[in-house]
Amino acid sequence: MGNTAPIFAASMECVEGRVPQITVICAVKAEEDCHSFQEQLDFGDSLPEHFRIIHMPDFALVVEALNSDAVYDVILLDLLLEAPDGVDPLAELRKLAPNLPIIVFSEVNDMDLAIDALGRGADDFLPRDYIDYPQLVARSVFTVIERRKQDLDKRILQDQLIQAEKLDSLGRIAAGVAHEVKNPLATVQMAMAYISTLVPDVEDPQFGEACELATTAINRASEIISGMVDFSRNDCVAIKNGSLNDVLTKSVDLLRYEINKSKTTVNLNLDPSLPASEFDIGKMEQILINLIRNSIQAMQNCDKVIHLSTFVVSPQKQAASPWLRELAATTGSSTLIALEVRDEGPGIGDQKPAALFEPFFTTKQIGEGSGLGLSVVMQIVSRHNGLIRLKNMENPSGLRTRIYFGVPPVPTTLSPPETQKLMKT
Amino acid sequence: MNKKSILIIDDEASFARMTKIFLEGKGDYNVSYETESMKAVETTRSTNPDLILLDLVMPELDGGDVLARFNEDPALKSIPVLFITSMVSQDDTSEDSLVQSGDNIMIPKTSPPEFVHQCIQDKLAGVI
Repeated sequence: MGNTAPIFAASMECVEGRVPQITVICAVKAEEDCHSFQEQLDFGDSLPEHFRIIHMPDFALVVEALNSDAVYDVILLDLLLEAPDGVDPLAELRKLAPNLPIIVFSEVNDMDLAIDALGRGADDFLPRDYIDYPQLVARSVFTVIERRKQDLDKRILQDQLIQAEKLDSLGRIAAGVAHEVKNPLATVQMAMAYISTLVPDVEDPQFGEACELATTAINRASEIISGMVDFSRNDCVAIKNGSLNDVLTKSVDLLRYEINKSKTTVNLNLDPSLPASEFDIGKMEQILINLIRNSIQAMQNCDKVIHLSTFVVSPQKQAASPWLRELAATTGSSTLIALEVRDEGPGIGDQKPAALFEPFFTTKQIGEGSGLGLSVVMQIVSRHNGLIRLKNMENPSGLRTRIYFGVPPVPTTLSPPETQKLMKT
Repeated sequence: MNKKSILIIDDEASFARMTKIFLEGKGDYNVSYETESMKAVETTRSTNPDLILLDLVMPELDGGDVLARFNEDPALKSIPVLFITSMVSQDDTSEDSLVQSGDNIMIPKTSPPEFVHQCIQDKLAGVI
């Protein structure tokens, strides 16, 4: 997977309430060319979107703009735009903004160059002599933006499929290995327990320590195996009707001891209007326990706060995010709900979020965790058709984990509270 | 105090033998084991143990089958049985550290051995 999986995209947050506007970087040298584009794109109120054209006659300005936090929708790039020696403007911009549509703008007699540009990552080209042709520029801008959007949607779907496949095969291997390894492991554990009772009788001063080390090691191996069994068992979820708020409260209760011991404060902010939903209560608790534990360990017993909250996703926010739209479509739910765990630890730095979900990835000291926690979380989330997003926060710094779920259209409160087994096929 | 006798029924010979060594090391038990589930009933009759540690996953007869045969036999029916299995992980048992299957308690094989010992003591005392 060459691209960062958008499902995990940590930085691409949508801006709430953004006015529909298409912001165009007009990277052409001549002021009058920019004016031509402006005129071509000035449709008055006849389009729901309106265009904002920013003239950047210098390559360095474009680079600066793309490195900033500002959001642009498309670049019109003059192939004659001067760039520092040895720099290919198109290649450089492609590298800086891999997903931004680029329309190149060329002399008409440079058709070969224009076609070559398409092969090197441009989305479309406009010959200079034709930019006055009615609606040609607008047609090109809309087409490339729409095509990019479809590509992104397709890639989200592909990434989800790949992820699901990876988890499935790992689950199958884990189940087999775990079962086979447990017997010998249990035997060694038993042996160490017996040998340890002999410590007082053995003169060698190192014997006791050797026993302890071996026991610790074997217990750790056993913990990992248990984690793998849990992982493989997530194939099967028992869906019931319940409230995420209750799950949060219960998980905090279950972890009360660890929370107190680490001097962590838990700030619960539960949305009382959160609708009931359908999920596997035990597995959902497992998610919360893993996330809260990670946060406690990340904050290293420093008197800090974990903020836990639930909320209903606003329709505006849902409409503005391709991931949330996708989630609503795949789950067939018009209402999305979310749970959030935000800590005040160091965050995940520049780490690609996708890597964190790989089994056995861990930043923890040996003995602190198996490295299976987040992959179990990821797996449970995907079994519930949910969506997980990580984001580094500032002021105060920390990691924010949000998990989104669709609410089933009709709550099944009428059926008896019998567990419904959903076997994965 | 008389030593209690324990019978382990488990197809994993090394695990069964190691558990025997561990438990006998405690000084309170005489332990024997049977690795062929087909012979489980016969061996139980001849050893007449105070408690049985029964593996759940075995070839031929599994733990459940063996227990069903015990239940058919008035003489064997009343012997306390603890299931011990590699199917159950510690996480499943986190609620109260034990998983119940009917009246029978299942102990994960990879539990700390002292925990296994505790379960045996409790079962013999009729506490669980």
